Amino acid sequence: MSSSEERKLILKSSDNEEFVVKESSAVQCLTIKNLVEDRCVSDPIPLANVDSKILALVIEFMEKHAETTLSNSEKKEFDVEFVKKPFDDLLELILAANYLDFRELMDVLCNTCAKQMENWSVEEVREKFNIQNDYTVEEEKAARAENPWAFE
Amino acid sequence: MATLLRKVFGSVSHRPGSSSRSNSNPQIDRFQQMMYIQISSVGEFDRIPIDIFIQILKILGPKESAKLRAVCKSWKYIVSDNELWMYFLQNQEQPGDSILFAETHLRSGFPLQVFPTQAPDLSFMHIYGQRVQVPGAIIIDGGSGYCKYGWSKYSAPSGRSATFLEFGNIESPMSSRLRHFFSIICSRMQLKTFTQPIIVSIPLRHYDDTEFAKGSRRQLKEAIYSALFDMNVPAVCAINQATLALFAARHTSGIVVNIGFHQTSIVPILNGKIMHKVGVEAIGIGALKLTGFLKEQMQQNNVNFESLYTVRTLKENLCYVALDYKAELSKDTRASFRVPSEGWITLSKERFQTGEILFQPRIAGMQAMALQQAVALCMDHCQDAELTGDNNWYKTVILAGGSACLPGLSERLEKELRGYLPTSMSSGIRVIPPPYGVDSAWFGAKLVSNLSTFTGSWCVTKKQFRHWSRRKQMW
Repeated sequence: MSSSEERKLILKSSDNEEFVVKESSAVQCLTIKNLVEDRCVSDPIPLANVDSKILALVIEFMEKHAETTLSNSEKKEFDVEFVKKPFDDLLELILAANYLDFRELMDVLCNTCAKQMENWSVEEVREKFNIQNDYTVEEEKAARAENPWAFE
Repeated sequence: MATLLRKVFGSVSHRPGSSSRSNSNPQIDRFQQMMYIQISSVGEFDRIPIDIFIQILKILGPKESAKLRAVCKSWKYIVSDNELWMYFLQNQEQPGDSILFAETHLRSGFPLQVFPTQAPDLSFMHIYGQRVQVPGAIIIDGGSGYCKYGWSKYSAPSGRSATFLEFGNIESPMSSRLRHFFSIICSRMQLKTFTQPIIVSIPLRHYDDTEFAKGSRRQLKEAIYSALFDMNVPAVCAINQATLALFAARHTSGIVVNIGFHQTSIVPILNGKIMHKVGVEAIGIGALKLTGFLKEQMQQNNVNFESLYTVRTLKENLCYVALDYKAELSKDTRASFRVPSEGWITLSKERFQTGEILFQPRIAGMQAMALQQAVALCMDHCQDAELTGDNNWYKTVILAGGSACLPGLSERLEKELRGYLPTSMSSGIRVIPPPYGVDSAWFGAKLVSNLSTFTGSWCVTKKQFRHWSRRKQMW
C-alpha cells in the first residue's frame, strides 16, 4: 500500500486554522485513527477542543515521534526540550493530548508535570493551578495532621 | 462545577480504549456528591479530567500525593480515593492481594475477627500511612530442621542455618536453651541492641489435646517470651509455624500439611486457632526420611555419596511426585543434574519414587499412615466436630515446608483425597502448594509484622508479659 505513506490529512483547529499532516503521523492520535479507520474523514477534520497554538505544538511532537529515522535517545532529547514550556501551556497540551488520545504525548506531559509538582509547596501548587484555598485555618491543619508522615 | 462534570463525561466518552471504569465510574458518583458541597472556583484544575489527575498522582507517589490533600477540599477528596492507595500499596514488594488479605482479616490480632471488615469501609490511605510507620520486625522462624531469620522489610530471609535447638530431654531448662538459641541467631544478624520487635514462629510440639500437652505448649510459649524479654527485646510476637504458613497462603482457616524435617504434621486451623481438640495428626516421615530413601535407592544402583547434603541437592533439583505412579514407572524419566564437585548425576525412577513414600510408606518399608489417609482422617474429625455452620473450612489444604515444594505433590494429594473420600466430602477440596516455596512461615511472619496494627494488636511488651504471667492469664 504505497499510497498510505503520502496520504495527508487536514486538521482544523478551534480557531479555524488549517494544518496539513501526514496520515501516518496523525494516526498516533487514536481519536484521529478511529475516524480514519471508520472512514468518517471529512476534509478538513475539525478539532473543536484544540486551538491553533496548541495544535501546532502537538503536530510538532507528533511528526518528530513518527520519524522512523530517529533513535529513541534522540526522541528523548527532543522531549526534554519540548516540555520546557510555561506550566499553563503544559496543562493545555495535556487537555489536547487527552482529547486526541495521544498516549505518548500524555505520558511525557504527565511525567513532566509530576516532576515539577514534586518540588512545590502546597502554596505554590495553589498558585500554579490557580486554586482558591477553601479551608479554614483549622481545617487545613487537620488535613495536614491526618498524614504526618507525608510532611516529614 | 458543571464545567468539571461536562469535561469529565466528555473525556470518558471520547476515549474508547480507556479503562473499564468508563461504565460505572465511582469517581463520577463521588462528584455528584460533591455537587452539594460548596466548592469555590478551582481555576486551571477545573478543566483537567480526574483520571488524568490520578495518573499524575500515581507518578508523584504516595508521599507527595498525601501532601496535596492540604491544597483544597476537592483535592482532599480526590487524593483520598481508595483505588489510588490500593495502587500505592500494590507497588510495595509484597503483593497487593496479600496486603489486602492481611489488613482485612488480621487487623485485630488474636482472636481474629470472624467476619472481616468489608474493604470499602477501610481507608487505604490511612492503612498506607500506618504501614509506613510500622517499625519493621526481626523474624525468626525456627523449626526442627532449619531456622530462617531476617528482617520484615526485606523481601526474603537473610540467613538460614541448621537448627541446633534441641527440644528433647536435655538437662538444661527450656528457657536457657532458647536464650542461647536466640542470642546466637541475633549475633549472626549482627544485632547489638534491640530496637525492633521480634516475631518468632513456634514449632509444633505436643499436639495432643491432653492437659499435659496443653501445659507443655503454654510453657514453650512462655519460655520463648521470657528468653527474649530477658535479652531486652522491646516487644515479642509468637505465632505457631503452621498458622503463619496458613496466613502466607492468604487464609485464616484450613488444614495445614507441614512437611518438616523429622515429621509431617497435619494441623486443622479455624480462624487462626489450632483446633487441638479436633486432632492434629502426625506422620513420622519428613525431609530427612525422604533424603535417606533417595540415598538408599541410589546405593542400589551403586551410586554412593558420603554426605546427605549432595543427596538433598539432587532431591531438590530432580525429584517430583507422579500423578499416576504405575504409569510413570513405564515411562522414560531420566534426567541429570550437575552437582558441584561430583559432576553429572542421572536419576530415573528414583526421581518420583522418593516423593511416593509419602503416599505409599510401605515402599520404604515403613508402617506409617499414608499422607492422604492422615489428611482424610483429619477432615473426618473436622466434619464430626461440627465447629461452625460452614462445613467447608477444612476443605482447603495448604502445603508447607521445603519438601512440600516437590513438583506434582499438590496435584497428587488432591487426586488421592478425591479418590479416598466420599463425594459428599470431597467436593470443594483444594490443595494449595506452598505459596512462597520453602519459606512459607517466614513470609507469613513478614505479612503479620508489616500490618498497620502489628505493634498494637499482635505484640506483647515486657510489661504486659510480666503482668500476665503474674496473673497466669496467657492462653
